[in-house]
Amino acid sequence: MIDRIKKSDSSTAFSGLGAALFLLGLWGCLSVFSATSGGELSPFYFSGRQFLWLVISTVFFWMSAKINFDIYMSKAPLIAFIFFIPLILVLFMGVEINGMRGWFDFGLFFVQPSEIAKPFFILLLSHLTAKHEGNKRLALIAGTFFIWTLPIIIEPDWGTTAVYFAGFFFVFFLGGGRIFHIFIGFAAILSAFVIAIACKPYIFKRLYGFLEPEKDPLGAGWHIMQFKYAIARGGFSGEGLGKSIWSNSYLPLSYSDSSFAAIAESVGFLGSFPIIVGFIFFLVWSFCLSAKQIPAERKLFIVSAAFMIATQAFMHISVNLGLLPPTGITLPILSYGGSSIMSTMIAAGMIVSASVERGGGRIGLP
Amino acid sequence: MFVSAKKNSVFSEGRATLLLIGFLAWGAVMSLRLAEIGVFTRDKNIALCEKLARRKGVIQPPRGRILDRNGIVLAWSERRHALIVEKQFLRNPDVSEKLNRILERLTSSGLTAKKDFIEDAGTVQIRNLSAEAMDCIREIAGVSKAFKLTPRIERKSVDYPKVRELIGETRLDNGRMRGISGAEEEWDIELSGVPGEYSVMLDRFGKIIEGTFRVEKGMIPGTDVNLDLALSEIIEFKEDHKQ
Repeated sequence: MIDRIKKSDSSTAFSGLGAALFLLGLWGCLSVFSATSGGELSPFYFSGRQFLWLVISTVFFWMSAKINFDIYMSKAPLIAFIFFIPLILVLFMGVEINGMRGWFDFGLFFVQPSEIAKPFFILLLSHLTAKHEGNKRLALIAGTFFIWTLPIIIEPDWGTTAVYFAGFFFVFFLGGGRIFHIFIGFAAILSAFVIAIACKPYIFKRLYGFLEPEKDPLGAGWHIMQFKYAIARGGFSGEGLGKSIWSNSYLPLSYSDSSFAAIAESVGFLGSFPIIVGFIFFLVWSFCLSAKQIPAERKLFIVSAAFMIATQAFMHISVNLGLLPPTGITLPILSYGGSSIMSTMIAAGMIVSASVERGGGRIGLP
Repeated sequence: MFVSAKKNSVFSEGRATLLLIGFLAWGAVMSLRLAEIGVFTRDKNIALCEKLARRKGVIQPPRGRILDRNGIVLAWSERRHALIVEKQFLRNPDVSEKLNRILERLTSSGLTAKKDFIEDAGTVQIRNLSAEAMDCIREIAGVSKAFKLTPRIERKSVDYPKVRELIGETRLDNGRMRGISGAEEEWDIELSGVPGEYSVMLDRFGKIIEGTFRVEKGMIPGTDVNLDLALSEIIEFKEDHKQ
């Protein structure tokens, strides 16, 4: 199968990735329906909007796949700048939800610019990696990372910042970055973390709640235990769609930050394990696309973007499984949120575009 | 081989492979953890969550009737419903508007009287609701959890002073109806029955989660009591006695 993917043409890549993501998106719509079936509003209110976003995002997937990747690369700084500006504007013109000023309110819908900007961040870093070498490359991509994530930190959205850091790390590491620099970076992060714990004791309390949730199930360990209970209630085959009692009663934000646990309660191990498989399929498919005869910067973009999406998905799932402390990250494609679906589909479209070995009949092809 | 890369390379396939292997391992760990929580240690986790959320209560048995010698019912219990809305919910404009519509509909159609409308420190209640009144409330309130239709049991007897005197009175004692005078008191044990036990799950706000009601121990309803006197004799006896 791997050889077939390597030798496949763009239409196979398009349909394979597109189908996988669309199916995950449909599963997400059902999950949102189930997670909101016990609320005041009709569950079709959320799942209907989610489906609409999925359809719109699929169109954007198609459109972004059709654009010649050379155009993306040559215009990367301009494109990135266009998508960076809303990150600044949202701090002044955005609305605050759950303590975070990260959304634009357009009345009928909200837009989260930090989600939409993700693929273009990777595009810019890939462009800089291709154009520069040595310490200048390191300075440019590290500087880009700090400037790009500063407004996100100010929102504050630590979960999204962590995902952006993962994207930066992948570009740096895959672009041949020195291991010594990586060690220095992680040492700096660890030091910052220790200082943060020393200055803010509540961080230690959260960490303790994550490590020993059973010791304080009604306090620091509350959220972790709710994930566990919801997943346990699902068992092997689930309670049934629309019958997830725990997700509707105890699990906070069951349609976004706790999506995976809510899905597990509805459809059990049988229905939630394929989600992990789906994202692994997405990873492997993207990795195989990168093995085609295409320029190195395209390979860098394909793998970095795919790994960044997978990192967010795996972080979310790990939080819901109690393997990581709660961070407020949504599950790409499956959690409720149009911006997240749009971002993932655009990134997937750009991955398909980057995997085209020789262009033909595409927008902007010479 | 995987970790090192050519100087100034743009893409290292070895490192990409290493990261992919890392993701596959991460995926395997998550899958095992999912199986552990959802399948292998499921019973233990279910027991913990039941302990957190499940609460027990008493199922009050229906009180037996008091009949005369000829089988005419002299005292019986009636189930009445009341609508209860906690005042904290009235801060929500949607809830407040629905309640106003309910009141307007019930009073204009004569389904409730002013005496049945009660307001205390924490709740607003409409008592003695008929089936039509409850249908009306359900139609307006929909699935809103702010509106609770709660059953209440009331003891009734034949509306004649002499009969009421013979039958006696009852009182609610810790949720259980007890006879405190007359035949109600004399035959209290037979009339009361044996309470049962139920369990139900509460959400994080303390509200009952629909569909989680479970009978833990069945109740035994109270038995009917037949008096030696006929209704007419009761009335005549009291009249003669008074004379």
